[in-house]
Amino acid sequence: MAEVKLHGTLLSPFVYRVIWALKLKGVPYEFVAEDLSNKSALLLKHNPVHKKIPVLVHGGKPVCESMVILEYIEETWPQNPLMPNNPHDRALARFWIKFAEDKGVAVWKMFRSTGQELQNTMKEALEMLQTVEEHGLGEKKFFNGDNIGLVDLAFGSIVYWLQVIEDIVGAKLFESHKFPRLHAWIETFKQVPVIEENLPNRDELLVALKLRREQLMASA
Amino acid sequence: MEGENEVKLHGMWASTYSKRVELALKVKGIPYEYIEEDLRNKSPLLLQYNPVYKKVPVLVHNGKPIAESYIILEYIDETWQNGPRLLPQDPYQRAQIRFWASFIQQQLFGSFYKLISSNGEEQEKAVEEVFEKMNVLEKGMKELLPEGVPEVDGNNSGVLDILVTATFGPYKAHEEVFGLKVLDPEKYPLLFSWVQKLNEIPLVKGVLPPHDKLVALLQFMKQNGLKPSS
Repeated sequence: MAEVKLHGTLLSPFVYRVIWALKLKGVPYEFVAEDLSNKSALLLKHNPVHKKIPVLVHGGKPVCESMVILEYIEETWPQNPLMPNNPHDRALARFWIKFAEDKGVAVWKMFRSTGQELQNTMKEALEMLQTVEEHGLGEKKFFNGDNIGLVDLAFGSIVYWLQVIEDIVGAKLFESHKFPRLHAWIETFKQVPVIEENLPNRDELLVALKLRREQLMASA
Repeated sequence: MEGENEVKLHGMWASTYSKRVELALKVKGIPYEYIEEDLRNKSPLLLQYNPVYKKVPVLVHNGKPIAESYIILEYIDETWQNGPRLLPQDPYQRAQIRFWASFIQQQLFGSFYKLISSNGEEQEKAVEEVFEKMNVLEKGMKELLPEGVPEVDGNNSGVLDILVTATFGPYKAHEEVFGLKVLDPEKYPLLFSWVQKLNEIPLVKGVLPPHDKLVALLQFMKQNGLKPSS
């Protein structure tokens, strides 16, 4: 089988989406740790457009953008499917994946902002959560139905990181009485064995992200 | 048979996103009913079909709605497997197309939007950004299509042809209203020649918004500080 490599860092929610997908499919891969303050020549060669992680390299060919990578993984390794079977449900899954991409940005913006900007991004993040709570999950166990899927991975990284970022910026957005469905879902998500075994330790993540935020604020 | 393969499209005649879906339906030869939405007075059906964004286009297939134009394109390709395929079968090629579709959507359109909604120095910066993104797109397409743009006709158009047509097909109207040459043949020869070829196809001519009507709408929006929103 052609070699699979994943370029990334172990702080990145986008990288974790790919790790989860590869592990759920049982695809062996080599992790190539990148230093984002000193990106490798190989990373820049594989992702000249965005120069970002994650990049999946399969048989020497690079795939960029976490959700594009996830669909690539799904189509290349069909075992343990992470997308629904029928076209309409797939379209719905892709809708929520796109929503996670477009609106999940609010959480990353929160991490990087202060003052009025922080207030604005918090409002955006709250709206995002409200929409997902109201329209996205329904009464399903996972976004993908009875089993974990790509949409769960997309939101899983957003919500897990949000819970840490909230603490760092002193926000209280993701309250269980406001978001009962999402709260139940994230607990279920974290207990899926592959996820449980491949989640960054919360305390370590908090410390690392706090430091990162301080660095960002200092250089602003 | 009633209800079997009933296809409806809620769209707007000037919306580039709406046009993407019309092009795909026509390329695949899928009969559909078109419902023109007044974006200042959206139909209750539209709001019911797309409660999250309340936007066009929405495709309704046998009563089930699908929103978001690129997603609709993939849905159409997966559902109607006769006729030309809009996406290749190979996962790596599909990943490349999805990458560029995402680039056009997030990066390029993001910059266009900044361009038309800013003034003065901010707008100058936005112009630079647009040219930068166009550069990246031109380069990306050159690598994706090392033999140049294949001969296109209404029978073998793919998702990239559709995206390029919907985005750049009406370039003359954009130039006239905004006084800016974005699709510059000297800077972006591949994109320019691709658009010329696509604009010759009768199917495309039949779908793209009429030039004068589009110019009038864009002038109106510009004068009234209105922003595009589906």
